[in-house]
Amino acid sequence: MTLEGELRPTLEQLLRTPVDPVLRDPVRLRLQAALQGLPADGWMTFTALRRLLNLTDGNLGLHLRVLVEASYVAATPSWRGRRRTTRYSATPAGRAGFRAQVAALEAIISAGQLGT
Amino acid sequence: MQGNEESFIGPSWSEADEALRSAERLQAGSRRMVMGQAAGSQMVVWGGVWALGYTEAQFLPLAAASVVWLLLMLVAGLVGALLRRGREVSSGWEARFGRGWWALLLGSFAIVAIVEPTSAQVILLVLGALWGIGFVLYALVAGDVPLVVLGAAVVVLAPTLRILIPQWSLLCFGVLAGGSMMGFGLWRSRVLR
Repeated sequence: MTLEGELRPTLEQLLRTPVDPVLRDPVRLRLQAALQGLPADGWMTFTALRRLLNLTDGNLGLHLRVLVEASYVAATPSWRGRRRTTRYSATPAGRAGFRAQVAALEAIISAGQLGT
Repeated sequence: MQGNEESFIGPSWSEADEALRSAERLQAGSRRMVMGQAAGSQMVVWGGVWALGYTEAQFLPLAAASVVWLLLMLVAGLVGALLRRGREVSSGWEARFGRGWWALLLGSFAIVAIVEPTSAQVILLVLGALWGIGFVLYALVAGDVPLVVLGAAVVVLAPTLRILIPQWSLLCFGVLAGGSMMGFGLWRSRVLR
């Protein structure tokens, strides 16, 4: 059996796996990736995420809400003097979902390269 | 895919490729922001303390120099705490790193007390080299290669200056090590945002 022949069943299996409905949106995938890049206990403020992703407040807030509702992102309010800020971090479920989505995307790319 | 085209609804090859590349860029971007946070403005502050502390130690007696060092460290601690309050990104282990740093500071004084160096100059250079080892250890854990290089340079600089120019070693160590730390911190603050 050739390497391509060995890989084909695995790839077909991966390609049958449904793409994560939350992370199939490119903006949400980028948002989750930004938080995934932090250590397990790491967090980022709304301002830092907006700067890193170059998004508008409305767009960022909308997608963050979806990720928080899906329990992919945790939002923790904190106070700096009288100013309230929210710290965002990737949850274990979000990290697992991101890894699965990356695996699915890699399968699509591999399938394309193999001409499946 | 043979016989399965209807069962697969997802991004195309090029869309998947672009999504993956973009995700990798953003992961790297947030890692850089964390590194910039950890070794950016804080390093500028502590580099300043080193530059001033070693320079004044070159010219003042040890007792007076120690008092100035202590004051400088207190000011740096306060400024560092203020800078941390305003941070926008966190690795989540700054507090643990801070405790480790204080353990190293106190431990290094214990080592100096045991070794009983012959002069104030040697005491301060030994402390500088030990703190440089602290940078290296932290940077190895954090996977921060440029900081490993900086820490190693500080460690090597202390004995080199002691051997080559013993009479001016503190001043040169302050300017070179402290200046390098400030330059590194500025670079981190500006580039890695």
